[in-house]
Amino acid sequence: MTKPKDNLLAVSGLRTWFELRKWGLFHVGRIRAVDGVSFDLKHGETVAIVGESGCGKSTLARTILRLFKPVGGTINFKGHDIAGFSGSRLKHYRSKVGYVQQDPYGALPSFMDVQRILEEPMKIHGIKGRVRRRRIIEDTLSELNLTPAGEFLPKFPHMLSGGQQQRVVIARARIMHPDLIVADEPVSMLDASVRINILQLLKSVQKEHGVGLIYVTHDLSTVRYFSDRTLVMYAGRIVEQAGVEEILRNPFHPYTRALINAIPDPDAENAKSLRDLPPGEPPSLADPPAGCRFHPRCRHAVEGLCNRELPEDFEPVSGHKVQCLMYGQDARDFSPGEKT
Amino acid sequence: MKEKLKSTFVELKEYPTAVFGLLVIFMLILLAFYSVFTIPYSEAIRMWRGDPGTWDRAPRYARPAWLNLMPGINLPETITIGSDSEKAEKTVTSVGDEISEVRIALPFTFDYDAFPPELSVFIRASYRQRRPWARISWHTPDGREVEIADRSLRSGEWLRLSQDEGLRGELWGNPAHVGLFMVPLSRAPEIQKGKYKLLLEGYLLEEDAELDVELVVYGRVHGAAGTDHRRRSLAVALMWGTPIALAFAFLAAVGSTITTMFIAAAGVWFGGLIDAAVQRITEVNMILPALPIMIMIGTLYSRSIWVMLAVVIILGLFSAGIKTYRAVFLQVKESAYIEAATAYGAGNFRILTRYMIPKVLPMLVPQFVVLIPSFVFLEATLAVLGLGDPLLPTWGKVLNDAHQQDALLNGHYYWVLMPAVLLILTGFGFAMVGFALDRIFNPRLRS
Repeated sequence: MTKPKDNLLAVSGLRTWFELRKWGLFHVGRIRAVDGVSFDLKHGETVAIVGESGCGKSTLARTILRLFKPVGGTINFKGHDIAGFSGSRLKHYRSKVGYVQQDPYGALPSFMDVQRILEEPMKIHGIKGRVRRRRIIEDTLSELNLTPAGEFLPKFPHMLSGGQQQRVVIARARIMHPDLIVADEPVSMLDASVRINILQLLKSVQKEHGVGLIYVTHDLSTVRYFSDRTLVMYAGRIVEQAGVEEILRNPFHPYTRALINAIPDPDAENAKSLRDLPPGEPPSLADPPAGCRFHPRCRHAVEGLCNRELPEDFEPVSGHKVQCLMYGQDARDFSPGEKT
Repeated sequence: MKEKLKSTFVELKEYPTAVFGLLVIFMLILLAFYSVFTIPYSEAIRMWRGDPGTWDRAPRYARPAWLNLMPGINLPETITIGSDSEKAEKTVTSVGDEISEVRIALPFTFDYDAFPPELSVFIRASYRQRRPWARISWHTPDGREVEIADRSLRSGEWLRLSQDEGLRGELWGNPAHVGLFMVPLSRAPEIQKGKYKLLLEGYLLEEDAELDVELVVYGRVHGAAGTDHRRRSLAVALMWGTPIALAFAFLAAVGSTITTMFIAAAGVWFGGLIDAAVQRITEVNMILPALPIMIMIGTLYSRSIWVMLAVVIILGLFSAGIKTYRAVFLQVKESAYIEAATAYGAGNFRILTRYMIPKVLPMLVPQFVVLIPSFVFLEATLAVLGLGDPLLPTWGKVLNDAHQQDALLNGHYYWVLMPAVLLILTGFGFAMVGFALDRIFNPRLRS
């Protein structure tokens, strides 16, 4: 276990719940979008958060960005718990994290030109001097291959291609030189042809400046080329976390295995075989199943155990954590045949 | 923004109606500025109040002077000739013992096709105790002489010849403004055109006494816009009505669109209790009848245009527009760029003013332009209802006066038509530009 101060970010027991109200007044329940999430992020490390739609991965990303206020747990950023920050301290924190969104066109205000878009964060955080700001903008743009800068600055978002728009979004996230960048599905809305290019740019920016990067995606195939560690999320919880090679080669959790199985592979043979996918739908986050969240869909589930006990992190291999009772003290309850 | 403005302008040129509308608006603005700069505010108020002495030399119910430009119309214009004017001849000769003889001749040419409506002579005299004595006579083109007065004169005397009963007897029963200009004894009074002269011969009975005389032959046409029942030139009201109408409408439109939009945006952005409060106030406000409230305030409290403006704005702040804007803002609030702005630290006020409102502003522009004439009409409506500002000259006040004096019944069409034309032009101009802007900003309306 690394000491907290070695970490850029240490999330622990994080819970982000949304109130459900009837007529906007009476409490009728809550959506547990993020429900007890813990993980660390070292300086300059890239972590991928993988999971299917609605598993809470975007909520987790936004909670880290403090777009949502968590109801419990801590977010330790460089030794400060920013979970409860507000006012000027929160504003200062915002200058230390960058945010890259999914839809580049939607993420850029259509009525501002590139120069204003990039100036806004600097104006907000009090970087004075037109010339100074201009120099920072030019540096950032050239880093993202948007050159010559003078040609792009007066352009409005609709005049740029999708890839260029996303590079402007990355430039905006980079402009305050943050320590952490959160990228929420940064390439899923882009043409396949520019995806790799954008990911490489993001990677090189991250490498060059030693920025921590949280990469949220539902696409496991890009994770291998991109991240150091992978967190697999299911129904608001991180069910497995390990180095990217480790998790792809040796997945523990039944859900992770299913995800890896689902990676498309352009092989003609695949057309004939059916993939082995878990049955059913992901659970409602308003009313998650008791015990292990995955047990209704799990082939290995043991009645009386998996539907009762919520699995904690087990670490069967060093640096590889999994939340599945198969790897806990109750492992004997699982028949060896099932534990493939 | 600049680029947007420029491209909007270029697109506007595609619509001939919009070009016409812009031209009308431009002319109105020009007229407004011209009025404000040529007639200072205090002067306009004074003229419109019409204190005694302000309009003595203007006729009643005169039509606009440009009517004479029409073929076949040759109505008398107001002729004013005083002893200090160029054509006048004035001689003062001392005859000793503090007494001097004064002779003033005021010649003028009258060659119009109608009798003047009125005739007056104004006396200006200065003396300590002894009034000057004078004989005033009228000399016609055919050489006749009619005595108007032969007596001592007080200072500031206004000889209303038209109402002089003695004179009427000498003029075959006709009032002076007819009798003095007619061919003698013509049965239906016939105009005698030619050179007339008013002659004053008299004595000043003190050493430094002064005597001046001024003849006013009132016209049937007068000034750029004619005159009303109180001899006031309507041009003053029509000119000054322009800046007042435009300013009132502009401020009211700003008050009830831009601020409304801001309130809607704030409600949506802060949500919760603020949003609920904004919604409820709007719903209550929507069922309040605006005009009766304004009539009530005008009758019971104050008719000042500023009070009315405040009422219009206050009632307009939470107008039904909030509902429309809210629908749009709810969508804008969820956009990714707003989330991004929050993530890089933009504060509430910045998000409202720099991120939410600019997105919706284009929707507002055509509405704003179309709304302006409706407030011009509102101001006129209030004035016609007798709730116009008691001091300011406005188009609506002119209409109100015309209505009260039964202008149409008495054939004073100009009195109603001129302010009406201005109102219609304003409505037309802004509506045309507004509709074109609507098509530009909402391309789906284009067929």
